[in-house]
Amino acid sequence: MAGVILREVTKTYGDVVAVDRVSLEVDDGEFVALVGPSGCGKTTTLNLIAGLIDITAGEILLGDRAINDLDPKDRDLAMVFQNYALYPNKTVFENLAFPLRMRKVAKSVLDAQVKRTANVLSIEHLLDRHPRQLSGGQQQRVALGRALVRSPQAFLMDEPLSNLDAKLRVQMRAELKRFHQELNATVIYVTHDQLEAVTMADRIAVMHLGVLQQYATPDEIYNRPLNTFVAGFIGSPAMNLLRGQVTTQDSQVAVAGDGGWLMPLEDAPGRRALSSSTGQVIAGVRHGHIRMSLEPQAGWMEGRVYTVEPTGDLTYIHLKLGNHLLVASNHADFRAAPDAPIWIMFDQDHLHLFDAETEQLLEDAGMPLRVSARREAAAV
Amino acid sequence: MATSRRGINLLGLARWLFLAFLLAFTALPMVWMFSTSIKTEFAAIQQPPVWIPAEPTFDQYTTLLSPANPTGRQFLGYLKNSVWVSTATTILGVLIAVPAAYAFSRFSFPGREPLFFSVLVRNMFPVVVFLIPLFILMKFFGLVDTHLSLILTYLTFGLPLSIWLLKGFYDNIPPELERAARIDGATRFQAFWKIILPLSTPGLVATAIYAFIQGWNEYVYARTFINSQNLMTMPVGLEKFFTEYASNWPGLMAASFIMSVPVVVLFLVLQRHFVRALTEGAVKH
Repeated sequence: MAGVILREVTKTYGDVVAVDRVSLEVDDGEFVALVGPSGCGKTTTLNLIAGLIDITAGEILLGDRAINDLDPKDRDLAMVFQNYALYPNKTVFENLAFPLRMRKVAKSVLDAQVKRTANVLSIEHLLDRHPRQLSGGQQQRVALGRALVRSPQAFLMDEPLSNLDAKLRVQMRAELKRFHQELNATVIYVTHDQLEAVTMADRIAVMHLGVLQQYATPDEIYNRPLNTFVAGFIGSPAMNLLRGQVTTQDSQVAVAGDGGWLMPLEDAPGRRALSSSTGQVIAGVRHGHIRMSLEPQAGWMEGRVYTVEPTGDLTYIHLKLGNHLLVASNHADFRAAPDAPIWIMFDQDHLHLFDAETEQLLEDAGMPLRVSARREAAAV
Repeated sequence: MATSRRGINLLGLARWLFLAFLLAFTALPMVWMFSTSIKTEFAAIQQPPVWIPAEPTFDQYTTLLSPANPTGRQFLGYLKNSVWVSTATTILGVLIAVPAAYAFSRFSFPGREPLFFSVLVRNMFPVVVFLIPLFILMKFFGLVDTHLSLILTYLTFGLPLSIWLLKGFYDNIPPELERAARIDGATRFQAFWKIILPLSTPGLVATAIYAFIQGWNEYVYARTFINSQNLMTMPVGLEKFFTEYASNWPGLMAASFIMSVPVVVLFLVLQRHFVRALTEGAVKH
């Protein structure tokens, strides 16, 4: 196994930039998920690493050797495809044996290796069958087996679970994670499903429009998204994002939004809000970080219940705040009538503030509160 | 329940009647051809005609297939020429159509769409339109009265459909298969040779049959380009046969029957592939 390093990797098709200067370091034995909406360049990036597409600029290293000019067959990578890409006219045995035959492995070694792989994946009894005689889950295992059989330097996986039904997907997700842990394999895993990324990966690379948006651990991505795209993409239901004007009154910083709501900010978020270049921010809060009350509360914002969705273990409350539609969650037996007034407050420790223009996270630079200075200036 | 059941039965009956009609339409001429071929010359023009001759004879077949007599020698010569021209057309056709169709299916290159369209344009014109231009061309290259002139012509006419048919086939094979093979250690060519080619066998068979029949049946060009008796193919040979033995209907029918045997056998052996190719490859997009 070896790590993979991407340095300023770029792919253009004419004027279209599919992958824009992506730099990424995947450590040896690490499971990295490339995630983003369709068309974000994640699959292109994977194909660039595999060598199925030539890169326009940049460098790709596997371990310490540059592989960007090598043929796919010489890169010593294995790939699992979304549609499995099993060879339909070959038996399971021959599918597994194919990578070894291509490398002219001796017959006895080949036999042993195929048997061992089939054993690991519990597909020994399927070796004589053809792919069309297998269930989706079995095909998935064979595809994985074909990647496993020759101990490559790293595994590339392109949405390997998205063709499975929901139940099997959860099961295979656990198996894949287990497989990664046991083999200590380097895995680069492409998915559009943020849940898969968050649950399986050591680190997540979020891509959008060919650009790498953020590369960090799932915790960090979830708790400290660097821009509104990452904030809105990771987590389900998606993070609530509300645009508002930063206002200051009697040293109290607040965000005022469309429809007349006003959210007072505590010191730390207040400082961050003031660092916005335009005086406009986008406030982000996850569904679990909205406190709710059906009675009026001082300093809280009044909204209206839109609809209530009980799911069994949580109840989601869709509510209107000014012109915004938010999703909040509460305990399972929380109930409220549609159109009833509801008072809410955002948990300030988990409030994300983004510059309204750049959509980048406003960070606490640790500078002193500038409110007083501004107020003084206003007084003069 | 009873009415819907009767409805289904009526529909089934109608279907069977339709199929029976189609079968009669295609099979009766064949049966008549064979029936006449085993009649005596007198019985062949007898009124009223009979389906089953009173004194069946295979004399015509023994004459045609025996190299000992002049008629047989001539006929076997036509047969040999037809086999050679058709086989060469088939082999060359497949060798050209496979890479062309694969390229059209898998690679994007400048002018791909217009080129593919221009391949099909040939089929917009009747074959006869090209008769004189091609004759002039063949004369210019000194190819008149050679088998090569026929092989080249049949290729020109057969390739567009072959390429189109095969392209449909390759379009239906997921490109991930080649990608998987290349990552598994195959070169681009090995991926094609070991994975894609075997999967396109039905398409290949269909293309081959199509090319073979094209060469086997063609008359107009064979009649125009070939002058030497010993180079003639069967469709033209039959005509010669007919004029020389004007009254010999059984002989002509026997020769026609022999000529249709390879095509029928080819179809029977490979029909499964052929049907699969036409339904899976070209139609399903």
